[in-house]
Amino acid sequence: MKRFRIFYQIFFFALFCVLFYFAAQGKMKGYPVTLFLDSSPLNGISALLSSWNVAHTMWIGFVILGLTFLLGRFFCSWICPLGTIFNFFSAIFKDKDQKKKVAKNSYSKFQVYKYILLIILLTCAALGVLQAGLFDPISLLTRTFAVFISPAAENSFNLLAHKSAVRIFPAGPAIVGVFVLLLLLNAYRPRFWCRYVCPLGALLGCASKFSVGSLSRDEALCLDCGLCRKDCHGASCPNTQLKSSECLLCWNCVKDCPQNAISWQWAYNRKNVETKVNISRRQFFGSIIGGAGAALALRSAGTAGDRGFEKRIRPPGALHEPEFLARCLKCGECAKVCPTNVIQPALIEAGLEGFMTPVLDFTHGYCELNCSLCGQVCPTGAIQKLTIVEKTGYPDKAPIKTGTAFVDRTRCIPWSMDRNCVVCQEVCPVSPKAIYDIKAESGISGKSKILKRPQVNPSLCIGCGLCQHECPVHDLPAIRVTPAGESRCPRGSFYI
Amino acid sequence: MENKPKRISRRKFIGKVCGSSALAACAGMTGWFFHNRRLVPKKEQLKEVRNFSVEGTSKEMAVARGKDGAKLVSAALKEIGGIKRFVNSKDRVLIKPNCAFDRPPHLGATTSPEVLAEVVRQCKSTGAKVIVTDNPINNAQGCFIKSGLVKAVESAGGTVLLPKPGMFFRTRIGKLAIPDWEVMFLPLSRATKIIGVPTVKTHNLCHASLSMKNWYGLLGGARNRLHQEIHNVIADLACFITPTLVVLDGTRLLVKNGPTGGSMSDVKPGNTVAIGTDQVALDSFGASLLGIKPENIEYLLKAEQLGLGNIDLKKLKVFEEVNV
Repeated sequence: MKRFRIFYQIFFFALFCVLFYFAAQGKMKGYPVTLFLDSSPLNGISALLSSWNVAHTMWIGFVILGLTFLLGRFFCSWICPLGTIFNFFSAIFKDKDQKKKVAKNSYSKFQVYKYILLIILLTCAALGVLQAGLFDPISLLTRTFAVFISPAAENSFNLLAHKSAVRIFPAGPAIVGVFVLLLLLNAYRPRFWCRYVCPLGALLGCASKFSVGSLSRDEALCLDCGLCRKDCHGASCPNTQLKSSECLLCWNCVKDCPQNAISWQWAYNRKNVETKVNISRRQFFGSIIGGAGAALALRSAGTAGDRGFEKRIRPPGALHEPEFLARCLKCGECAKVCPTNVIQPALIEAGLEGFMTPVLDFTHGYCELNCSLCGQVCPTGAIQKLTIVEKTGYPDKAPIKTGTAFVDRTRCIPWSMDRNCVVCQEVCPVSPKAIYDIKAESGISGKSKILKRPQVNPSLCIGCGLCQHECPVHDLPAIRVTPAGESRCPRGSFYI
Repeated sequence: MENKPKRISRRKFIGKVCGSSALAACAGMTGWFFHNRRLVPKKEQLKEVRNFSVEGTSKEMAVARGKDGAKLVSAALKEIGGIKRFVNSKDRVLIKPNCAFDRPPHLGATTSPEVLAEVVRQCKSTGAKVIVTDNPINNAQGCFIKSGLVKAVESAGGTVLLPKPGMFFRTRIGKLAIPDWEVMFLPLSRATKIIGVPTVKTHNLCHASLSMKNWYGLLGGARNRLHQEIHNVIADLACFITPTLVVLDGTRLLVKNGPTGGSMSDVKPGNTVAIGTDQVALDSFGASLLGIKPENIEYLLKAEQLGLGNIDLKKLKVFEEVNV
């Protein structure tokens, strides 16, 4: 069975990478690119609690939860791609000394912390503050892949070919830094994240309580040698009472036991399996109160409102901010699929509550008019699936506006430097154009020149940022988009 | 034959299978039940406000001139047939004064306390419930206190209702600029009669702030946007509210630096109170008090075009009483 487990780990990890690769312009072709995000019951339940909705294919997570009720934490060892990566790094950092190995794989009371984190996240979700996506393993892995692995891989492949644009993500160092830290923590304890932090593991651990079968030790055969512990991934005490909430079903103990005393039992003896989750009443209620406090603390900054966030430009199709924050898993799938690299995980642009949510950063890209890929891949519908017709409003409906462009006359070349330009007008993709020009005579005496000075028509501008991105005054562009006028907000417009 | 490991009984096992399967089924059913149930959040339903006018009282107006604001109100009311024509004991009357700014009453930016107190007293005398409200630009509680209106209302037996976020809903408004807007709907929905008590002020954007403009104080949301089409908006406000009665407080006129004023030099004594059921006509009258030709006020022309009232006072039944 251990061989099967390793096979499935590699298979699902490869599948994760392949689906991730397909989440790109021209490659999607209907493949279920969000399959892994959908399969996480933590994402499903948290999004359900905060938005009263199970969007698109997220029902898959509920099926996984259902199977966990029957079989235990099979997801952690057989499917989870992050688990596979941590498994791999734990193997790299493996201790040679047997005694040390056993010590490192022994149960620690700190393993309760993942349950505390789970309760905090679920309490926040129940109060409408969705932060579970920050700590969900699939979400975390997708986000890390999106900002680091994907651009790095693309860049190295293209190194020998023609020079191609590298995808830039200002939040990259933060996200990768966290990931590298988690990788290195496997040297301290194998599968550190899985045992001490993972809230999805905690959720599945709670569900394992009811599993119909479990790995169980035959006391008659057991020599009490403790060898089953030396490679135990979940640190679940297979040598005494196996904790079903911690057991990751990696099957290492079965293989390691010289007496073949451990095996899967369908009707296991209660004496050899501990189904209780080891969390004290104080920790349980403290976590609920802590979660409520965290939710209030986050909301106290007014992040769900529409004032004071001039860089919080959301992707087209995003819902009104309170609904958006109640659905966004911060998975980074939209940032991955965006062909123009304009979608970025926010650091401070959307406040603390909006940390890692997608915002448009026109320094690194612009929003292509005839593209709605971000909505196609958003698992929870925080960004709605839009057809191009719905997005552009063709032929006679209002288009989706992500914001409005404002000309900075102090920096604009024709306005302040007496030379012609109007690149912004040229690249403006809507028809009729949202940028018109005001004619003026050159200020340099003796020179007979007509200057064309750009002016934005707010009722036509859709806030796509092409103008900002193409403005030749590239360090602080002379035309900049802010969220004012975004169509997703009922009172978002400053223009009547 | 080694002893097989002790296992749980067959019955318990079947029970466990059923229990865990039931839980698994619950998980699946939850996913299925909520599948795309709220994919797109439902759009808020628009509210509607009723017509507050009393049948058989249209196109009427009474004017009283003199120094005592309270006496002017009671005299004008008597001329127009008495308060009982408009309000009875079963009514919940919502009174909308102008309390928009953090100013003391003598600066003329808000409704006079004497006038408002008399209106409240008259309504209370019929046995009706009286609520007074406004949604000011400045801090609401501060405005009501410093304008003297809290004292005026409570001494006459009424209640001041301060605006709260939960009271506001998107409501149908008008035909020209704003088909719907966020409005202080809850007090409006609970009221059976509405009486506007505006004060007479010049306005740097729309020339004059009188009875139609007074309903602006029922709006919420980003009403700072509405200045871009102010005349269409004010005409729409007259579509939005058809009042039972309007008491135009012309005891003090803000003739300069309106609508906020700020100095005694901006205020002139007006010594007039006009009461009527035609807000366009009352505004026409108020404009003339300020020395403005009613035809020069765009929103009056638009409102008349929409059939909401008459600029020409000759089309009304006007009662006049001087020297109260």
